[in-house]
Amino acid sequence: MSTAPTPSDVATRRPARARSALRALVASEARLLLREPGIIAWAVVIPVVATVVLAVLPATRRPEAGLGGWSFSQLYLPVLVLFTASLLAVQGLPTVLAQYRADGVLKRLRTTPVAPSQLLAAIMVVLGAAALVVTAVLVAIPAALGNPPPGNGAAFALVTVLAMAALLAIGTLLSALVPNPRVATGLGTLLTFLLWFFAGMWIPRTAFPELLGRVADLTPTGAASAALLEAMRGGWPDVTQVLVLLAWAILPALVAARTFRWE
Amino acid sequence: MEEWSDRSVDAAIAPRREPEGMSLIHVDGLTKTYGDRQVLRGVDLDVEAGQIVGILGPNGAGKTTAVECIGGLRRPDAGTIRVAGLDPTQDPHELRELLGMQLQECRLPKKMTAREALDLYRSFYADPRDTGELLARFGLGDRADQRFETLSGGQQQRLSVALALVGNPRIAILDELTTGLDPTARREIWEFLAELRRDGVTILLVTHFMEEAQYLCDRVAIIDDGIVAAFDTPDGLAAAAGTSQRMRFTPSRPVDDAELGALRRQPDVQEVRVDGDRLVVTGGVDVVSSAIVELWRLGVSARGLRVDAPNLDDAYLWFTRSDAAETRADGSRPPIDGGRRSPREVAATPSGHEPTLAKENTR
Repeated sequence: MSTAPTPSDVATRRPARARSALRALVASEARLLLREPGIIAWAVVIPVVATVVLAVLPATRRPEAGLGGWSFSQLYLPVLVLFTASLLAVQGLPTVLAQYRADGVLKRLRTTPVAPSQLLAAIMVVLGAAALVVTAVLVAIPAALGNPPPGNGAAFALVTVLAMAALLAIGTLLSALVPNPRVATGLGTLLTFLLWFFAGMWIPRTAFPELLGRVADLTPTGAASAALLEAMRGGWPDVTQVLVLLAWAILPALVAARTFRWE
Repeated sequence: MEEWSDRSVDAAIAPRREPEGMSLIHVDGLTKTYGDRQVLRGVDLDVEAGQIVGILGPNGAGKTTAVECIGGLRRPDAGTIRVAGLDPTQDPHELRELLGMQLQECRLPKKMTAREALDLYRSFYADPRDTGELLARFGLGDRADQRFETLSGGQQQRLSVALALVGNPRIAILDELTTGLDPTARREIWEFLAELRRDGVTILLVTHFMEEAQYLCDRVAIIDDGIVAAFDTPDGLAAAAGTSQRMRFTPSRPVDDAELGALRRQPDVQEVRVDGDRLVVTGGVDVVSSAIVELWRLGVSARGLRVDAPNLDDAYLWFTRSDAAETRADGSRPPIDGGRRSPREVAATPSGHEPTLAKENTR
């Protein structure tokens, strides 16, 4: 028996297997996401096509004095980045999770050595990665077509990551509070429209009236869109903007962690 | 030491955790209440390694709650559970490696294929079964790359059972695994479970099908009203529900009262009843020979003779009767010698299957 492994040997091997399970879950969720033509059309095709059109048409690639010296193409880059991020995180995440809960996918996972929280992590990784890939494409297209790229690429990337974290936290909170799949999807869509508005989807961020601008600065997409514009100008985000995004990433996640039910 | 798999580690440390003589699954005094409804009122159960144990009982009797507590998915209010020496509330991770569960109404993502699901779940375990082997075994070989939503109900169910076994578990808990399957698919799964038992896998099977329990189970626990009302082999339960046999036939000529009296006096004959133009004779193990000999002496032949013996169906009905529960509430067991059903319960018995132990006595 002296050569028999102790339970601690088992314990040391456990993290390796947990990592391989997480990798398998990420691969699986990525495959499933690619099989959703609706999500791909909305979150990838529409923003990419819009970016190409805005970058090609002379009227939208020309800087306008009325837009604070920005071109439509530049002004809408942050909006389209946040369009995709909100769609994936605030509408996509609660829809997927509510469906998994209703179908017992999460309960079945509880019968295996893998915790359902790892599936949640895998979904977040996949949605986050998808948002970042689309963002990179959206940034690359105008640059490739001869428009000026963001002045501060690092700041642009940082704000995008922070915004995605905040939006994923909101999506998780939504699925924690609303167990019904249909209600979750409906509320997610509504919330997504609101987030698009604050990002400057229908009225450009620079054209917001004073009060609306101050309210928008406290929303995740409002703060992110202002910070992304600042990064395009070549600057760094305000401390306030970073704090707003961090708050939106942390507070909903804390509430969700207390209220989330796997079944 | 690297070649040690976690399973062999489990085997190596198991003797230290499992005291001598302790059963693989040990449940003692398990209670669980949802709101003000007490679902489990003290379940006791001991399952020996290598057995298939059936859990039978009416809807809402607490079968699923009991196995979900054993599987560590629900926390019991009180009582002791040990699965291979592990406490499901304390050691869930180690439990997950050696326990596979197939639950009711657990589906998969709609667009995941059968092969992808098995490959994914394989990655969760230290020593999994082979995906191809399981696909073939469950008749899913030619459906391997079809998405879950396009599989038939039976195929989905078979995939679900395969997923419970992909981790190569020592113990499998299967909740209504053949519900919704056609008889052929059901037989195939039964064959596979019998093979698993030969491999030494212990199986806890929640089922609604008496035939399944009779065919597969070494022992059957009948759960009624939150307690284990009976726990024995299928034959043992049938015997406990009554040892009598019943023969039904059409006499070749009308039989008069004196002749009926003579029939009743034969050894092992307990009851002779006229049912239209048929006779129903009930009695002990020798009732058939005695009655046939006497009928032959009277010059009567028994046409269309059918003999019924009590089976698991009868045992189930007997142990889940409402007054059986009352008897148990007194702390006593139902009597072993053929019971007496109230007329209401006789009426409630499915037609065409009149219980052997009918109360109406024309003697």
